Amino acid sequence: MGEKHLVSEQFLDALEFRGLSRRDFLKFCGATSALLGLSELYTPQVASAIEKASKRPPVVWLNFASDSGCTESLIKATYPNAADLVLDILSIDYNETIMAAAGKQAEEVLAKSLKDGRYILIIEGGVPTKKGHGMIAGKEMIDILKDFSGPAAAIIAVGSCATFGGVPSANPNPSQIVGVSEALKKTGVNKAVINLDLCPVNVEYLVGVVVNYLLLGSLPELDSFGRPKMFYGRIIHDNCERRAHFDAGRFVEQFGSKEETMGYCLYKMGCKGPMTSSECPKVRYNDKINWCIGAGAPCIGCAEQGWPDKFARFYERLPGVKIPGFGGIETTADKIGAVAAAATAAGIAIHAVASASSGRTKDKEKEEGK
Amino acid sequence: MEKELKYEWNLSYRIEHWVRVLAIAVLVLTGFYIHSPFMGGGPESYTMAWMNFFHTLSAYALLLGLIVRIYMAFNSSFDRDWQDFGLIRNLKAAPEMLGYYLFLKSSYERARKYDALQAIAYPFIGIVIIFQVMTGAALYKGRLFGFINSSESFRWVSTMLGGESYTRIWHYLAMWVVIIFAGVHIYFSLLRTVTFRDKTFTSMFNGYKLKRKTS
Amino acid sequence: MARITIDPMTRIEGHLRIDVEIEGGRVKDAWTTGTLFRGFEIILKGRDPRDAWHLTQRICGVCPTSHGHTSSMSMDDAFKVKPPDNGRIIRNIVEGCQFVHSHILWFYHLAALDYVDVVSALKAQPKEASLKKVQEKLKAFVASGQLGPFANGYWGHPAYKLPPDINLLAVAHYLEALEMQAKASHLSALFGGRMPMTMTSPPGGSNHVPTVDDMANYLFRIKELQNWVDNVYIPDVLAVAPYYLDYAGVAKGHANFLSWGVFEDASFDPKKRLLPRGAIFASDFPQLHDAKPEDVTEDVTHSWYKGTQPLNPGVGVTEPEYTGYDPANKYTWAKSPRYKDKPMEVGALARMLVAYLSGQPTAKKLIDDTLAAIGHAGKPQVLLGVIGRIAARALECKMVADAMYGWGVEIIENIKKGKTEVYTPYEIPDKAQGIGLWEAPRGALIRR
Repeated sequence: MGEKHLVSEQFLDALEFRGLSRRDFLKFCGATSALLGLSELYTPQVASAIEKASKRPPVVWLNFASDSGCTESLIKATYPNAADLVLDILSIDYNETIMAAAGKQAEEVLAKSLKDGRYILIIEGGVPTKKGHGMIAGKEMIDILKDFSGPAAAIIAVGSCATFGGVPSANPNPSQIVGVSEALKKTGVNKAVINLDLCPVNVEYLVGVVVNYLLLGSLPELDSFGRPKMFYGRIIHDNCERRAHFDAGRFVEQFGSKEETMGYCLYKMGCKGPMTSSECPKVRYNDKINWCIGAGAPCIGCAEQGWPDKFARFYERLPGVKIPGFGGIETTADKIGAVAAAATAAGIAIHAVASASSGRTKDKEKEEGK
Repeated sequence: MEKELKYEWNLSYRIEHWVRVLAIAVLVLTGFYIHSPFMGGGPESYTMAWMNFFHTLSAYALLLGLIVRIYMAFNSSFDRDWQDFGLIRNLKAAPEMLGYYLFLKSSYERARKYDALQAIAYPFIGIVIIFQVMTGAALYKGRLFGFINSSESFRWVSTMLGGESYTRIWHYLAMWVVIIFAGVHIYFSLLRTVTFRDKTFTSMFNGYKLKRKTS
Repeated sequence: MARITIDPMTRIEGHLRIDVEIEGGRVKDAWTTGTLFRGFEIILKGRDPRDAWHLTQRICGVCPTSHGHTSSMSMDDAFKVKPPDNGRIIRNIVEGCQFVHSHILWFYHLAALDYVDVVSALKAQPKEASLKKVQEKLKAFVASGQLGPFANGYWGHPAYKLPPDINLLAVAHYLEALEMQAKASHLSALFGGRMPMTMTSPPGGSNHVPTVDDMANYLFRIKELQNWVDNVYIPDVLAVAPYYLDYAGVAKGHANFLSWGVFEDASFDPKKRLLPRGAIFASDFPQLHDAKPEDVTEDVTHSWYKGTQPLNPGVGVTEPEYTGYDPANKYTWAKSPRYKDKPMEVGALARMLVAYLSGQPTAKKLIDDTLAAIGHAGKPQVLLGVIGRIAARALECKMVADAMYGWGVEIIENIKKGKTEVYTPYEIPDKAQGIGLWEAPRGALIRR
């Protein structure tokens, strides 16, 4: 199967004049195939799928209760880079952070997309459900989501906020922010959402899902949290470059220490890698230059549902425990264990002394028939 | 009150008991290490990997020991004791027994093999062990018995407890329940051995306990 | 009298609505509305203070590092801990990468579309082969009918004043700049793990221990960025500026300036930061004043919060209460910060002016040279306004990129001397108060 059968010369030429050489393009397709878990044999097909999408798939990117970090992440893409994504692969028809139009002009663009339908709807940011806490063009964000979910070919929630609410939904969740799936449920829309958790989303995951869609015409297989299994099927801990140190029992006890320079495991610094599913160690960030644990920072668990609350305190192994009924006193599991054990030991000691001093030296089973 | 030596525990009961003791000891020790690694590994060591290995191994032993014990309760050739664990009867008898131990009562109703407190505590610990197995399975990232994808199959446990961090906390706190039980359990066996001289403690080694003669 | 509502305001971070009232072709009154409330002030309460810097980064995905650093600095202050030299420099580098990335992004991708007519570039007659290719590409793109993010702009409007050739050059550089801003971010990730949302600036310093390999990698990458800023960014600003000279002096605003200062010096003296601390008031321009956090208040008269008194952020209250859009009363989620009861301009122009008036040698030379080049030597007041803001950003970008090279060399010197510490351990007190005063690329930050 030669590449020429599937990828036309014309397309390859078109790539070259943009500065993306044929080799680069096939390299990208190869990387994408690998990312999708396909064999090298599929590389020409990936190339062909991208080319065949001669009408670039329209994308409507809506920002809700977000910080635009995922848009920032998008424009940090490398293979394909942001210019490829914007000019060659996708037609990003609406994204408030990068689009030229504003106000009425932007609204017109949005209305047209809604009319045309069949767009990929990408949502960045959670959905405030408290009235007035999140509005665009005078409309509540949750209503905008409802309107746009209908004609969408696929809905992708990018980043922790869009998936399950993220940081702004942390306790006490002042704006009652929820993730996209839950917001859709609230508005009575029944539609599958692809959750690309992480704060911010890793742009390679997004590209992987979109190419998967272009190539196979279908959406990737999802896990119980709606996350593509290909990116969230394994825990960070299992693929971590520091895993050997974990298994060996070699740990960093303090930031900046000698142990850290030797790349020891960050488990004792509160690393959430053992309970976070994501391909971070393999995909890494920013042109694969580095990733959190690679840079010396313990994972904070941002790929998981319930982040950040269920993963705070980030620099402790386990979260604090609130004891109900004591004014919400917060303590650690270690303290609870120690106190319970001490109480038991004291109880036993007192009982032993009492037994000895009471002179109870005979068993007092009742006689039968008494 | 005449007393005689009775063969209280046959070999299989004793083996089962000590397997569990060993398993719990290993689980607690390795568990503390996994919770907070208290010693570093050298260049060629695999301390954490071995800790994890023995932790999992002992967990299997504990679970299988429990299953064997339950089986024996119903179908032992030596002593089918399941009827001794009737909850309602034991709950009714518990206050008296507790009162006796707290020096509030001077005597208590005789039981066949387990006093009321024992008969409540042992099944309770069985439940704690099952809880530990379930939470442990939810935290375990391997394949149980080689074929059950444990974190997927037991994700509901974590979801119910509010996320994996909380599963970890519960798993850790339940360990303390087991430790406290073990402490109290050993204390009472010694208490009876020392003050009542009924050989309770040694019975778990040789099987013989001094009990009142029943004619 | 006409009233125009622009909602959504695009090419910014966040959700903004602008209402303007126009009389005789001039803006008579205007209202800005932040339309999203998330409540970080409320969320942060009762948490482990060491987590705060991670959470505050999520305030803004374009300048997360600044929010994180400001938070970590307030903890440093509260815990009475000082980062070691390499820790301080790494924070500066990570921050610097973000500044360079942000200024490139702002100029080429956010602001430029108001000055550069993308469609007019089709009419250019380029001689250079590379520009011809970009033009062909652009033709194919426009012919596809799918204009993507460029759809429905005011293309062809007479306010676009650039000739087609310069428009084409700008479009070519728009694409190139996309790559450069990404490269600047990749450089943050080299030390910070990832960008946006860097991971290695906790209270106490940094938890990235730089290796010699890192530093070699860094120096070559920063050199590339430096070259690009010198040879593309600055010349582009100079190429565009002559066509918009009538914008000079437009949108002067209140002309009060405030800068808390950014890029810590070894002395930890805010007045010796690369961009130092200070305030300037329109009333006695160009007199430089000290900037003190006690003089800041936040007013909520027109914001959807309970409370009436303007409060210092240190004792600030955030109790949301949405009452609907009412321009006469309450109409925004944004609080109104004031310094000595005056509205202040913050950002690159404020920082560069403060640096200039403090006599910071690099800033002074850059601005003096620029003023001389446009024939206004010694008159910094001509920088007030929209053109000055664009120029200040470009100059600041150059200044930071140049300084970053020096910081890399400093780290290598430290490693040579065996000074490799990056983190100072500390005990967390039961009760403490701290303050961090720092700068995001787009303006001043306070965090407590």
